[in-house]
Amino acid sequence: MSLGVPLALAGLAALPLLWWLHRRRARPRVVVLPSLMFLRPEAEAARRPRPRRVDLELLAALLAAALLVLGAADPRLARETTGRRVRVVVSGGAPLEARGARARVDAALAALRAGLGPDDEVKVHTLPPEAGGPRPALEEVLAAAGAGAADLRLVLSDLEPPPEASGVAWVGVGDAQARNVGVVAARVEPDAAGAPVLFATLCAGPAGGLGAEVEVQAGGAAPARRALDLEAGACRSLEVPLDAAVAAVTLRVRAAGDVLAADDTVELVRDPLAVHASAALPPALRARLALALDAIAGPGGHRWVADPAAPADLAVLGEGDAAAPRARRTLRLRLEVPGAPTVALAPGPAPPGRGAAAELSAAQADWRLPARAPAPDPAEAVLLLAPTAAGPRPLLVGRGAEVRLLADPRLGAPAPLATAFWPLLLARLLEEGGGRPAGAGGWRARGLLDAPSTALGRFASPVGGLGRALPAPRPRPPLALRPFLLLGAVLALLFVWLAPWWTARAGRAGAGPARRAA
Amino acid sequence: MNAGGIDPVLFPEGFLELLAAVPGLVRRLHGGPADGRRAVRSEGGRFLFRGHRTYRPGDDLRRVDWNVAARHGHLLVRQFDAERDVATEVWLDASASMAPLGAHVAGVRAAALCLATGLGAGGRARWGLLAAGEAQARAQAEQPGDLAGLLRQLSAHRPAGRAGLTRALPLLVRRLARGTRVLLVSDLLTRADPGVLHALAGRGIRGALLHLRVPEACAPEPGAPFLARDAETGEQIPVALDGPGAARVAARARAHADLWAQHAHAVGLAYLPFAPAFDPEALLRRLLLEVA
Repeated sequence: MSLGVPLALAGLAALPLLWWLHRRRARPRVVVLPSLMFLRPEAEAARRPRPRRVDLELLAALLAAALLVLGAADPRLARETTGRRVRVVVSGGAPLEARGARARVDAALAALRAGLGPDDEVKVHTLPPEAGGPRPALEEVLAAAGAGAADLRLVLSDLEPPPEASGVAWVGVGDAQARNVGVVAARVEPDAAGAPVLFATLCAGPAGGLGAEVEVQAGGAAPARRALDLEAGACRSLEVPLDAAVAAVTLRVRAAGDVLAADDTVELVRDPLAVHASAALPPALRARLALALDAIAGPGGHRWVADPAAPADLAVLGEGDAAAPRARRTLRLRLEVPGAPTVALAPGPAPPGRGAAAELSAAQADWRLPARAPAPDPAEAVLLLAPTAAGPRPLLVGRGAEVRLLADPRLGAPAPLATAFWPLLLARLLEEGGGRPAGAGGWRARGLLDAPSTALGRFASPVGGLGRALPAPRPRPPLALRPFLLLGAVLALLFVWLAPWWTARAGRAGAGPARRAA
Repeated sequence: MNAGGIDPVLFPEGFLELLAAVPGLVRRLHGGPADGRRAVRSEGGRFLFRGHRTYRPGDDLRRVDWNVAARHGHLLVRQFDAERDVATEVWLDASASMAPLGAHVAGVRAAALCLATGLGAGGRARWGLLAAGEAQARAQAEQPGDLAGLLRQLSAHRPAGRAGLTRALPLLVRRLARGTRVLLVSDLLTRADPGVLHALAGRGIRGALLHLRVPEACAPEPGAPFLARDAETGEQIPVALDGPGAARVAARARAHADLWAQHAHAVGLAYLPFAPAFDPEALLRRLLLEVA
C-alpha cells in the first residue's frame, strides 16, 4: 500500500484530542451543594453497578475522523500482477497408457509450473478425459487447445505438431526409444470355401524392430503361437484358419520391451447384431434394412429381435412406435407424413455454423453422429440438411441414444433408401452403439485399437523454452481506497449527526439540575 | 469593597437604603419607644434606684427627693441606673455550606436585616458566628449608626469549614441571657437535635430561626446525572434524579425543616424560611411582625 499524501496522516493526532473533548463534554458536571444529606440515599441507588455502555457517538466520530484523515492521505492498494492463464491439453487415449508416458507428461507439467509465477493459472485438459481409447485426432486436440481464454495454449503430445498448430505451443512428451508391437486390425472372414479365417495385422512402432510372438487361442483349443520379426514401422499380416464352430478367438502379441499393453490383446467373438424393426415399417423399408445389415455384417451377421423390450444393438422405429428402452441405438423414421420435406441428396458443405456437411458419397463415411447425447440445440446435431426456401433445416437429429430422421427416406429423387446413405447411416449407428463389426457372420472385435493409437510418437521437446512464449505479467493499476474511505466517513458523520436527534426522540434527553446550575 | 469597606455586591445601594429605613419602620410599628422595650442613652430610669446626690441647677425637679429635703433640709436628687432594654443577638452559621448557590449573599443580607431590626428597636445588637462547634461573638452595636461597622464586618466574612451545630447550638443556648432576642441564620443542614432549642424555654428569650433553604439541595428537579460535591467535606457522589427520586429528596428536606419549625415554635421562636433569591423587603416585614 502506498500513500499519495503521507503528511495527511498527521491528522491522526487529532483523534486523541477528539476523544478528550468528547469525554470532557460527556463527563458529568460537578455541582457544589450545601449538603448531600438529602441526596445521599439517591446516590446509593446511582452507585449500583450498571453495564458499561459503548459510546457509539464517540466511536462514530473517531471513525469518521480517522477515515477522513486516511482518505486525505490517498492510500492506494498495490495489487499483484495479473496471473497468466495457461491452457494445457494432453493428448491422451491409449498412447498415454504406455509405460512411462504419464510420467513424462507429469514431468512436463511440473517443469511448466516451475517456470510460472504463483499467480499464474494452469488448467490441464486430457483428451479424451477417460483413460484408454483411441488417440484423439489432432484437429480435436487443436480445437481443445484453442478453446477458452488463455495467455498460453499448450499441447502435450508424443506426436510432432501439425503445420496448422500456429498459436499453440507444442511440447513433445514422446519417447524415441519406446518400442511397441500391437494389433491394428483383426477380422474374421470366410474363405472361398466358407470356412472362417482370422485376418490380423500387426505393426511395430518406429523405434526399432522387435521379435514378437503371436498367440492365437480359438475356443477351447490349445493356443497356436507364431514368431514374427517386425522392422521399425513395418506391419505384418496374419492369416489363421479357424474351425467353423469357433465362436471366440483371442489374439495376443508378446514382445520384449513392449511399452503399450493396450494393443496387445484382441478378442473376437461371434455375436450377430441384434436388430429390432418395428412391425409398422413398410415391407420395402424392412427389406432395405435387411440388405443394409447384410452389407454391414455380412450374411448371417444379424438377427431380428421381435420384442421391442429385449436388448438390441439397433432398433428401427416409426414415428408412432413406442421406444425400445434396451436398444443401444434407435433410429426413428418419419414415414409418409403429408408435407414432410424430402431429402435433397446434392452433396455440398453445410452452411457455416449449422453443423456437419452431409454428402452422400463415399467420403460420407467420415461424418459422425453427435458426440454429445442430448443436444439442446438441434442445430448442433444436424447431420443432414434439407435446402428449403427458408434455408437449410435439420433432417437428422440425435437425442441421446435415439436418432430421428425427419424425412421419409423413401421419398426424394433419389430416395435416401436407394443410395449409400442408408447402409452408411446404419453402420455408423451400429458403430457408435455397439462397436465395430469385425467381419462377416456377426464377428465383433474387442480391444482393437486403430493404427494411430498403436503407433507411439517419438517427438520430445523440453518445456524450458515456454518462458518466451508467455506474455509478461500485466501489472494491475493500484486500487484507490479514497472513495471507500470517504464514503465510510460520510456514513459515520451521518450517524453522529442523527444520533442526538434519535436520542431526543427516544426521550432520553432532558435538562437536569447540573445544566441549570451551570 | 467601597470606600467604607462595605461590599457592594453583598450590600448594594438599594439594600443599604432598606437598612436605613428600618428604625423608622420600627417606630411606626410600635408608635414610639416604650419603657422597657428600648435602651435609653441618658442615665437614669424610673425603677433601677442607685442612690442620691446633691441637687445641681438644671436637674429635673421631679427627681428631687422631697422626703429627704423635709427631714434633713438638703436638696438631693434621686439617681437611677439606665434601663437596659432587650439585647438582640444575631448568630450566623459560618460553615462552608452557607457559601454555594447564593447562600452566602442571602445569609449575610439576612443577618444584616436582623441587626438593623435589633438596633432599630432601640436596643443593642451583637452578632457572632457559629463555627467549628463554637459560638464566636464578633461585635456589638448600641445604636443604628453603628450598623455600618457591622456591615463592614459582615462584608469580610467568608463561610468556611464546618459549623458544628451539634456542639455550637447547646453552647449558644446556655450563653444567652434572659430576655435576649436571638436571631439564628442558618441552613440547618446538620444532624444536630432540634430539641436543643428547648433550653431556651422559660427564659424570656424570643427571636426567630431564619432557615436558608437552597432549592438545589432541598427540592431538586429531575434531570441528567451529575456529580454532587459537598461544600463542607468535599465529598463527591454521583446523582441521577428521576421524577420519583427528586420527590423523595424534597420530602426528606421538608420533613427536616418541619422538625426544626416545630421545635422553634414550641419555645416561642418564629420560623422564617427563605431562599437565596429571597425578597429583602418581605423578610424584613416578617422580622418586624414576628420579632421587633
